[in-house]
Amino acid sequence: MGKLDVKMNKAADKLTIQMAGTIDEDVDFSQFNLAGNQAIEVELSGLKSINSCGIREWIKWMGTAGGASVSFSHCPKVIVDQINMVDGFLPATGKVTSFYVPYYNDDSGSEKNVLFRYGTEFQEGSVTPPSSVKDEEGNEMEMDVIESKYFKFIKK
Amino acid sequence: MKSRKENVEPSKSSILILEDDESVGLALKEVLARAGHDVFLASRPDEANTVLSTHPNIEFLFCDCLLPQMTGLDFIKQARTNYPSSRFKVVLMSGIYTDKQFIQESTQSTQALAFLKKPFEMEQVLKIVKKDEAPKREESSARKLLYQMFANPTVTSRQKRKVIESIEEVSGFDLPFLYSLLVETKSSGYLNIYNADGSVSGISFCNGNIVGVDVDDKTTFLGEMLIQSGYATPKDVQAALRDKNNRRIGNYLIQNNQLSPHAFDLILMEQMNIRLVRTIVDQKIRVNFAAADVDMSNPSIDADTLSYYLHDWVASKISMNWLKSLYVMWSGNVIVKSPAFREDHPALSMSLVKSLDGFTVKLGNQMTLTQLLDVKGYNEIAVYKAIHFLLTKGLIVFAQRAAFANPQEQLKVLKKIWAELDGKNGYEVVAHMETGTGGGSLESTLKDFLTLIGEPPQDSSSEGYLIWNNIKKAAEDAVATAKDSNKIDQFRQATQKTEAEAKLRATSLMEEVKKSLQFNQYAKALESLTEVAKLNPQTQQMHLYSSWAKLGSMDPAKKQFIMKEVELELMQVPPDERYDTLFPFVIGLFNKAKGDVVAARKSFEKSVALDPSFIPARREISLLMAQNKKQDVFNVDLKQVVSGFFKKR
Repeated sequence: MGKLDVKMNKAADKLTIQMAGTIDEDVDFSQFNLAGNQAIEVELSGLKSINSCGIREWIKWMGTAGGASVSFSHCPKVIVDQINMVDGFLPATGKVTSFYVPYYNDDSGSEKNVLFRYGTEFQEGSVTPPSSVKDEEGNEMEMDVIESKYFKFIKK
Repeated sequence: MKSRKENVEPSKSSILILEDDESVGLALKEVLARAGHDVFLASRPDEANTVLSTHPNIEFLFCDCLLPQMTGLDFIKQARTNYPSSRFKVVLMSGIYTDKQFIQESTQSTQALAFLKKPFEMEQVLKIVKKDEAPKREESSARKLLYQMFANPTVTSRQKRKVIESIEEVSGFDLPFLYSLLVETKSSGYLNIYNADGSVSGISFCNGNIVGVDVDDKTTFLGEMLIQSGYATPKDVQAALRDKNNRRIGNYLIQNNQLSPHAFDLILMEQMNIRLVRTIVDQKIRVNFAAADVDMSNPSIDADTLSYYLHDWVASKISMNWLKSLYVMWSGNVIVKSPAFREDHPALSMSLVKSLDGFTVKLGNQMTLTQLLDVKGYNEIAVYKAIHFLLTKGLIVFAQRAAFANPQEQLKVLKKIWAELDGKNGYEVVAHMETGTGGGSLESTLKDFLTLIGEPPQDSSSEGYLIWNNIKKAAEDAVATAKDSNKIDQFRQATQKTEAEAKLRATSLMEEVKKSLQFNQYAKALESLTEVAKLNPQTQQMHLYSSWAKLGSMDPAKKQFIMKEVELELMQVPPDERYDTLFPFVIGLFNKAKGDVVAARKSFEKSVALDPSFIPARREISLLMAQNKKQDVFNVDLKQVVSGFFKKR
């Protein structure tokens, strides 16, 4: 198995893709055909990292999806960062349906990723974080990102 | 020495408390002042008005809802109308109006951050201020925090990520520091660099080693590097380029026993160096670091090798203008050795540091950068670059700001700052202030910048007082201008036009320089080069042509001085300018001037190998050969003469 594990499942006009691992210079997206689908769902919870070569390959690959509506779920921070920083990382027909937000407790040092879902914790132009996030010991946690930057893609 | 916390503590907020209950007001003031904030206490609205009119930078207003002359809510409304430029945030307090509806309505109408029901816990107050000032701090002092990372002996991945995340934009000139930070702190992961033109570059780190450099420009320089390094002969490289038959040039040479695998690894490392150099540009970029498991690979750049590269980059790539702007923020701070400093650290024996006599001793003497620049015999360029190199390597940090030791020192700093600002338009002044302070909002940039010039000198008739006021006015005017988007656009366009014209003029002057040098008109070339340096100090190959001209016009009486100057010039030649025919040619001239004829000839031959049509190098080889021939004739004659005495008859 390479550094990236991709599982594709096609049902009717919908293609479901699950990705886990690392997207870097070794990735070969040409074996994962996106063409000819009306809807594509990409689940990214297992994605660990992406480097600059991976970003270029990703953009090229997404370009092959044509006019399909592409939804991305369980986007980890590394993906949200690229969506915010790189024009074209999220295709024009792309939409984020859920993404992770890192939380942190200053005293205990505990870290946790909280899933923000479309329609619940965010929608176009607005974010409604959960009123309280606690770690396993019950300590109150704070959002560990700069909100104005991290949620930029929602406000676009 | 200052404690770690003191070293990295950012500046605090200005807070106004309007509270007629003396005990509450005083307690609140004490707690906030103890946390390091500037606190003003007013017991009546008119007193609070006086504070607001004289201190436009008030950031928080803690306001009691029931006041002697009016309600707190009315006061806030009035204050917002009377002081529209004052952007204070409100915290409401009351022991009487505590019902839910009032709290909700008053918080909404005043857009208050919080409502404190008396009696309240002081910890709650500190939390409100801390939470609200955090984003502003992250923004305004991010650059400072970044450059102080080495003050902390154990930097966690999270701290690194946070400080990198908090910077909206950095300059490409900040990258050597980021590379060094990630290497020294044994990072693994990807640093992605987003360039202004939309391209993305990336550096991969594995446990503190740079294992991959991905840039858009794929120029390999391999052939040139092999010839320059002497690992392969020009003939072999040319044959390899002709015959390699789809094999990589390195593999071809190794398989034909014309290059050792170890030598090829060294060449590949140098190639990584050149690619890293390509990222160090005087342009705004954005960066993102994501920790990840990255495989170790060979060749790689470790911390020791990186020291040499950092030295080289600081010496050759980073402009003095940028360094001067950056170090404005540290001009009054004492330089201290970081926890990583050790007297036998290899970095301390590198040229930039070595060129300054007794420099490492002075680093232990609690001196400021301004004081170091005043040391007799210290070259300004060398001081800035040596300090920047050691800061980048993590061997020194700046201690908390010390007030100016005396009015003379403040005057020196003020004069330096004024020299940078005088004659600049609003856009340029703001850009200068942003480099020094790290950017952020216009208000925070102004505030940070004004703290750099210190309090106004006491003597209002002194030169220092006059310059202090000039700087303050220029900075405030620039910020006011920057708020007017039309005006700042005009300035921006004017600056960009002037810069473009200067670059064009520098390029055409360089053509004249080249012609002059071809005809050995060194004085004329030097004159044009002085102009080029003013117009665009980043002009390609400027230091090489300048060295050529200086060596050509060398007055034997000033040889020692000029050789030192040329040495400094050559140190400033960026690595990516060293794989062209000109570099070995100039090195040849330098060796020739030193009297090392063998090395000179080798360099000229390399130059010809890189470009056989480069006449000046061929001419130098002919001259050396002719000289050699003359010497041989003389030697032969002498031998004959001497042997003649002992010939058997």
